[in-house]
Amino acid sequence: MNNLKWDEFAQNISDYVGVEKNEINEDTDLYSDLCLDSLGLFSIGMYLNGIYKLEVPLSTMAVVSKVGDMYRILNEEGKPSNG
Amino acid sequence: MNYNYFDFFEKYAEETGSKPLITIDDVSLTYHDFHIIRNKLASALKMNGISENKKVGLIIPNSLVWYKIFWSAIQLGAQPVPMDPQSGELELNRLLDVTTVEICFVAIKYRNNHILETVKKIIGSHKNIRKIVVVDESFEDTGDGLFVSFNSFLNEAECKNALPVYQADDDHVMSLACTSGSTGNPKVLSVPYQGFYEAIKDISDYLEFNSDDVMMIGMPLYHQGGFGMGLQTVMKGGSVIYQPQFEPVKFLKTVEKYKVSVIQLTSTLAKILLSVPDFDSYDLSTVKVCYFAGEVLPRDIADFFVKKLHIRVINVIGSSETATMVVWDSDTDFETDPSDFRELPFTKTRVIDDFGNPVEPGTPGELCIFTTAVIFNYFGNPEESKSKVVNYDGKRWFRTGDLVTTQPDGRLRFVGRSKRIIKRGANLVHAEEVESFILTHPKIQAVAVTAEDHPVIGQQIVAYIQTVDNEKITRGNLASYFAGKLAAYKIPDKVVITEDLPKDIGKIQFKYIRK
Repeated sequence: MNNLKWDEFAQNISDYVGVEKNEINEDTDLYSDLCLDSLGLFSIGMYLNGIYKLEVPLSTMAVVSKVGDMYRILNEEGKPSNG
Repeated sequence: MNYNYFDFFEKYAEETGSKPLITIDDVSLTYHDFHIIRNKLASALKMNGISENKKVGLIIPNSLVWYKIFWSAIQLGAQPVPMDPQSGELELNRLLDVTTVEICFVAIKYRNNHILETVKKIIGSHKNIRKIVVVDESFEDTGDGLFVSFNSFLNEAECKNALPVYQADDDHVMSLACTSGSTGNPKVLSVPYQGFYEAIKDISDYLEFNSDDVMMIGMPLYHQGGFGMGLQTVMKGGSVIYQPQFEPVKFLKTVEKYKVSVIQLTSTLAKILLSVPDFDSYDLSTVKVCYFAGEVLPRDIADFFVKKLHIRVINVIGSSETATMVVWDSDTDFETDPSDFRELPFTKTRVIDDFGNPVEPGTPGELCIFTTAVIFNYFGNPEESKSKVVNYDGKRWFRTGDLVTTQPDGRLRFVGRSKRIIKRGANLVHAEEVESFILTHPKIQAVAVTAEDHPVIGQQIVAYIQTVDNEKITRGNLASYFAGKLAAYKIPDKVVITEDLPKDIGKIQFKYIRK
């Protein structure tokens, strides 16, 4: 576990996508609520990898659809990055 | 000699009828079943007044039903008009206006794009549309005769025997392919029936495809490239596989399961595939060719596929207006940069200045291309047609808008575009189109859209905006404003509120756009 705090995570998502933090919860849909497309998903994945200095494979990001899924993957599967 | 696509469809239906022609999401359509359903669908279309040169719309994601509808229209000499299922209201309005579609097949939704809802909203403005056929099995007829289910439509078919196949002459238009336009006007391409056939055959012969080949494609069917590439193996009696959406692990498992011999990727998709944690455990030994298309191909990716996976890499540059134009082929070009291209034996290139005169090697000029697939024209747009489709030596050539230089060895190197196009993954986004739409926002008074390099997707869209009364507008606000009106991939990835808009973006000087 990487001990990511949900509050801070939601703020980082909010900063990136430009949606208010209080509108973001674990069930928020990355596509329909945050208006991302599949390429936008990889962009935000890389952004979060950079902020937390963790690495999650792009292929794992490719099948995520909820903010909560992204949070769990980073928290549970993210490996410390070298960069 | 005039070709006919149905000669090979019917040949394989007879010789190898039980063989899969196309597979999507592990469901296959055999050559035999395709023959049967295509005739039935053609009969239903004919009962509904579809005949030579009538237009049949498709707003459907990758699916077997897409393929059936597309070819049943062509069988009658009509033109299928495939549209991007990500299209929003503005785009669909423009496309339906220009293309004069009479019957339109739609899906209820695609990802978070509510297609049917949008069509219901705009149908009143398109009196030429006589029927909307909804392909989802869950849909029930509305009873008004306008919105009908696919099964109801099919039941109108009367003909029990195979319908005659339309015999296309040199001037016949096969289909209308739709692409984005720069100022909000979509470009609709009149694809030549004979010329497109010849172009597909030429590349299929060049790569020596045969009936054992199975091609797996990362691009969608509604994209002229995604559709055309698949035809290269089908034409030889082979098979083609598409995915409803790209899922990397499933892609690899499908290669193994179906012993795929040809795969088509973009650089972005390749990066995602190679990031699969146990990538090395997948058996890709059946793959002999990997097509890359649509994006710049980094050297390290080309090297990996050739040296580590022992797969021939074909990096193609093509367009919906031309089919394949130029290539980098690892079999013959490995020592050169994968971003330096050469003609194929059946394509020709010229590098010209603004006046159409050849430029000296090393000097940037516009790439002008001949292939047999060069479009007849932009449908309904004589001005654009005249400026882009030109005649040299009695043949149709296409001015691509790509800036290239000729290298000392004769290869072509792409150095930019003469228009402000953002290459976001495999999508081409016209900066002017995004700017025009953003300017309709009541709280935005000026905008400049530019590209920013991104390590995975190539380029992302950045919108610099000046707001009214210093109003705070976020990307989320803009995304909500876009939703349902323009395709999701055109939404800016970043929004920057600024007092000073950039006036000099890249090589192109422009004045920032004001209301």
